[in-house]
Amino acid sequence: MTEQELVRAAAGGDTEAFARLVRTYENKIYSLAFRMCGSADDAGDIAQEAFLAAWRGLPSFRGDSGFATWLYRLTSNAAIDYLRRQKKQRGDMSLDDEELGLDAVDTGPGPQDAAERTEVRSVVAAGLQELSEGHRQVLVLREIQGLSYEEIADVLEVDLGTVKSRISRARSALRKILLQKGNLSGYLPSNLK
Amino acid sequence: MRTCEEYEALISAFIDGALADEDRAELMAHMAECPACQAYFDDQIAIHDALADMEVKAPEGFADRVMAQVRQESRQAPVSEKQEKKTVPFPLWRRYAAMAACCAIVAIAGFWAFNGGQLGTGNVAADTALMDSRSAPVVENQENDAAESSTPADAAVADAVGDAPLSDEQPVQEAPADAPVPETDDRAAEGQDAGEPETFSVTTADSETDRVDSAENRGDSSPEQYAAKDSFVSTAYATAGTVTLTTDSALAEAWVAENLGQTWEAGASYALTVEQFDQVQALLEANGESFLLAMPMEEEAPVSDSLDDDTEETEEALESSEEPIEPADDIPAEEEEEAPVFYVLQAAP
Repeated sequence: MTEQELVRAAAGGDTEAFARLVRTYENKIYSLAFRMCGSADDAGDIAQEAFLAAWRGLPSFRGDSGFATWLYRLTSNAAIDYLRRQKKQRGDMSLDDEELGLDAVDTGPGPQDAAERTEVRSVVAAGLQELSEGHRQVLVLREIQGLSYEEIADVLEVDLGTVKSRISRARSALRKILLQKGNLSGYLPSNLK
Repeated sequence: MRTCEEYEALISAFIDGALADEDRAELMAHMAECPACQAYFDDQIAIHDALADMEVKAPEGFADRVMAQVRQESRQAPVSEKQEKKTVPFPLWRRYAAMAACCAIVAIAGFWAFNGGQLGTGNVAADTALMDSRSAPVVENQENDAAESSTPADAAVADAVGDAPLSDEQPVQEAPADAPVPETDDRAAEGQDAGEPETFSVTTADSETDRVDSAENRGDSSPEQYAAKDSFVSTAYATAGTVTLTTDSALAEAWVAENLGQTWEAGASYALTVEQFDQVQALLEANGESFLLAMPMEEEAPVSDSLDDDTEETEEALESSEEPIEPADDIPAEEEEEAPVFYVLQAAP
């Protein structure tokens, strides 16, 4: 069965077809959730919520975008909602995207540590969690999920130019964070000092 | 000559394999002379390498847990409690727009009562009010329980897939005069002018919310969806007549087949108990399905066993809304004491 056929079958209520889709995408969706929220437990909840939202929405899914794109969108939105709830629970009522701090996000040890045993990878992963929500989102989609500019534009529902410039700014911001923490030995350009 | 910041954008495009040859040549030439950009490039390559291999595996048993939940939901077509709590299928502004529509109609009905409004013009005015309110007010303060517990994933479902069925041309649902609901026929026979189209209003019970901000009017051109909370039946203006939920959702079709043993036919109506009605509505809401919720404002309430908690206030509101339509000598007030409600599920024509 092709993915399209699986999607159609699942939309008609075929749980086995949906199970195959879940298995196909579980790592990607879980990764996206994990990289967005930084907590293994919460990533599980977010990823599950995204798949359930997909199951509920499938009967009306029109396929204008691909299933994967749609699933990434559901996950990305669920993760952002999670971050906002976290933010709110911490008592800060500001929901401004760019203002959204992530300092209280649990970045403690989790089952993923094994995958991040190299030092560079773990400092970059930690730096990722300090990015703004929007920057982290676009970098995760591009670098970890491997989405093209066009796919990211679909997921985020923004235009291509915005995707390109946001990715570039996100990279710049991430480097700045890592430099400030002393995690990169690079030369700090004057405009970042 | 580009600035270093502009070269950073080129470096980003280079990493993504999206840099044109001539730009790449220019970038390389620049980096040969600019240690800052060369360092930026080196760092970005290192970051890119670190990020590229960061996909993590879902925990053991994750897919099984998801599927257990999915199977549970698909077994019990009626949504689980968890779903009801977590799902807000429609943008909240639509709910409030619907509520505002109802308020507008109630206000107009009251106005007629005071002005001895005449049968005939009322329907037009009510229709107009409804149409206006559909595209106007939005409640700014969306903090309620539903909003608290909603997930954007659900909202995304509604946004991404929920904008289909009911067309703009039918924002106001007319009950078919010959709907296969016996009580409806009785009501039409005794209380209504058979040839007079019934006016239906969209109603909702978010009565605690009264702040409307037209600045947030999105003028959304997508087909309208109205939703109401379960408690809407307890509001004053929802206690008379028939509450009709119109949809073309396959879920409703399946529900009718499973719970009523009836075949789903476009235009057909299915009489429900209040519990069944709530069940269907919750099911549709939880799945982000489109539906139109409507009730008549100016008809004699048919007999039903569904509600018995009407307050005096309710009856007053009912009477005042009926006066302009029904001459006072037609209907003794006693007949309206119970003012019950019929619940009808209609397959979109």
